Amino acid sequence: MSSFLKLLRLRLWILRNVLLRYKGSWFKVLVIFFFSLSFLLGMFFLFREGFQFLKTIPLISELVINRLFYFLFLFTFFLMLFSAILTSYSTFFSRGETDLLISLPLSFRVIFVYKFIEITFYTSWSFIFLGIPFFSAYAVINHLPASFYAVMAVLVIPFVLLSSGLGALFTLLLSRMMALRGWRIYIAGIFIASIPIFYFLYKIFSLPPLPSDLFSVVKQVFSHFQLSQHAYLPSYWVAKGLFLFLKGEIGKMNRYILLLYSSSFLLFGLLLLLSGFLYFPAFSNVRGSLREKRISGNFSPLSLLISLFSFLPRKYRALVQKDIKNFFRDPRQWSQFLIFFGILGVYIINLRSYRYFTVTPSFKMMISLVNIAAMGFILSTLTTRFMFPQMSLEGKRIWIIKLSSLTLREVLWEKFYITFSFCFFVVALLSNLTNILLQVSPLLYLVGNIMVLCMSLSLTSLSVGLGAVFPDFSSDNPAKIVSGFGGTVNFILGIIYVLLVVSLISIPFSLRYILIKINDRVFIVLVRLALIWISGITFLSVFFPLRYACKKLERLEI
Amino acid sequence: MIEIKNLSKKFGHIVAVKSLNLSIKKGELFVLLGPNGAGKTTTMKLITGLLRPTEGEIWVGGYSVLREYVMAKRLIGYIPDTPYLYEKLSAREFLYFIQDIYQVENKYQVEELLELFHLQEEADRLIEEYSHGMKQKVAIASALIHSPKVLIIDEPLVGLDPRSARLLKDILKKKVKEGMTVFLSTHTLSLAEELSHRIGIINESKLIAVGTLKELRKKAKTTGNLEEVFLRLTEEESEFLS
Repeated sequence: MSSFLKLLRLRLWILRNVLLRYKGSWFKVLVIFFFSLSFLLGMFFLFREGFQFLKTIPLISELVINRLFYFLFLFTFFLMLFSAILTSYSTFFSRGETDLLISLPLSFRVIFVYKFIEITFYTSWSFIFLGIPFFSAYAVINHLPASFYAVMAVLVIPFVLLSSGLGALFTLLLSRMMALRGWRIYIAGIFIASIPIFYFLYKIFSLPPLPSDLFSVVKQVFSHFQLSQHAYLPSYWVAKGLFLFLKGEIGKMNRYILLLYSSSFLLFGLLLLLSGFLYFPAFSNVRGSLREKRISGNFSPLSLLISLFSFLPRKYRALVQKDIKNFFRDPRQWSQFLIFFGILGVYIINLRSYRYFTVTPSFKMMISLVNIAAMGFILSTLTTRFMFPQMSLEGKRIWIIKLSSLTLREVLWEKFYITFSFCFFVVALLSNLTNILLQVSPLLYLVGNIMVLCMSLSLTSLSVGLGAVFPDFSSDNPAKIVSGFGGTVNFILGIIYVLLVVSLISIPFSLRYILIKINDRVFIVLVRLALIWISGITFLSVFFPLRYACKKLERLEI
Repeated sequence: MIEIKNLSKKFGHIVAVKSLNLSIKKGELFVLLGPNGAGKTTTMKLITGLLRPTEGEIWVGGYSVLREYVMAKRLIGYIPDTPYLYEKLSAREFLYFIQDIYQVENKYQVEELLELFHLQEEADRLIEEYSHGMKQKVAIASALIHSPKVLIIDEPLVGLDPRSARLLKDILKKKVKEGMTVFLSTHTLSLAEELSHRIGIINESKLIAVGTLKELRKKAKTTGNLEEVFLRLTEEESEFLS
């Protein structure tokens, strides 16, 4: 058996042990399983409804679906490419397993390919997970034969390999060629890869004022997304191959399949060739750069941020300093954090393009409520991804706090205050900016701010509280901590909370502007009632997670 | 068995190892001593092929670690100061994996090592459930599984109980008698005194002294124990450099 197969067998052993020797709660497994299943089914029905709706558009439904596929494949391609760059740096050069493998008599190519498969998996699983309900819904609506799924698989495999391969190639070349510090390589990579993605997002959101007739609108929107049909893009080859299959032009489809496979084989061959003499020097370079890294004691943006907390008593200030430094000195953390805000920023900046839709009060109200919901969902994702792991990241060092004059309850509250201040500040800023751009009514302005306050309080409590209720002190990897049971519960509850409060506040506004057009007095009463309910739900979602977290921490034994 | 010629390693502007020349013969137990951050671990990582030298060359068993790395690594067993083990494997599975990678012919080797380190009863438990000492024993067993010609160990006694520490010392003595070359780094000076044929002292990235304990005593102009010798030599060098 070749060395590579031995490494793959090792992964299977690990997978088998994880599945068969699982010692945690089976209830957790069931919850995750049913949530995943419900998510898949929910997405399937959602996509099916979407396709059903698109089919009802007269004359141009086929064209719209056609462009939608081109656009989605392009979007996915960029996302997977970006994800591959992020993942490949930490996977190729991580401590631990890579050190062990490099010390063994294995060729660097074998290690590289083994790591590349890992990167491809991490890069593509979400695409596959979302792709299954999407394409299934499309197939069901159009009564497509089973061969459709087979063709999809044949098309998607090289597509995924191309995006992860390009990401891996980019990281490999950058790490070797730039004799910079490890984290600088990482930043440079993210920055360069961000440019097309942010440009792409900018293009999506910055629609010019649209004409009044539907056909002209469609024409303008399609020309706006012309990039997705560029003949050199792998996303175009996949979409084109798929449409040729649907038309029954198998011969022409095979040309695109051949193009996808030959390109991915070429790229893989290039990676194999380069990895033989680039991987180890790059690995050694990155390792060396980590050793060289020195922390400057001089003035820095970080010290400015820390100085904002100088009013705190010394012991709390020390905690805040530690948390801020740990967070911002870990590129895995803040780079993803910046991406979040980059996307959010692009969205906000381009809201002015939507003025077209806000000519009537009902549209203005709808856009405003959609914005509140979007803020809530983003905040929920943000707090789950970054704040939930904070208590777990105290990890094996938690004894330092246990032995100090601080109690774990105080640590919990410190994390709560910091997270809440940050979330509220950022989301309130963005929300008010949005409202100014949309020129909303004073009432909507006030409601928006109350909603932001409630959502910041609730989502912060959920993430900080549940992070302490379900800690994972064994892992130093925040992404791994979040993917556990507690992180999943946090995410689900956060989404449910946002859906609930946004639905509640939408009721009076919908009644006022869209449905039965209630009078002002009734409308104000209903708004107040909705806000009382929202405050109540917020109180519960703040009180219970933090209460259980305090209890859990009091009983915690290390 | 180990030939190091003009070896240097820089991390950016920081010199971790400077112009190291060293030759260690077959069946020799060589101990590398030095203060924290002197370059011991970097030297060992260079020999095992975990880092690429900035200058110079290393040969293990006649194979260049840089160019013929697969062949060189076949001859090496390495126990780092914090070994990586797959936590979701049992000790038995981990050892079989390492045995497969080295293509060891002897089918009983894993079981013999488990017995030697008194791990048979726990061998099917996942490594994540092991104590620090048990993990260290698994790491040592995995480094010995292919009967390496060269064993490189960074702080061998960390986490081992007195019985296991004694067992490891006995194994090292036996293996060295059989012709294995051992390159060992430690802060436990009594271990160095007990086991070493020759001792190297590295300070501020430079190898400042190499020889038997007797030769080092002579160089340090003292009749004291290794601790005395080590302190004198590193102190003198630091004073000279400053």
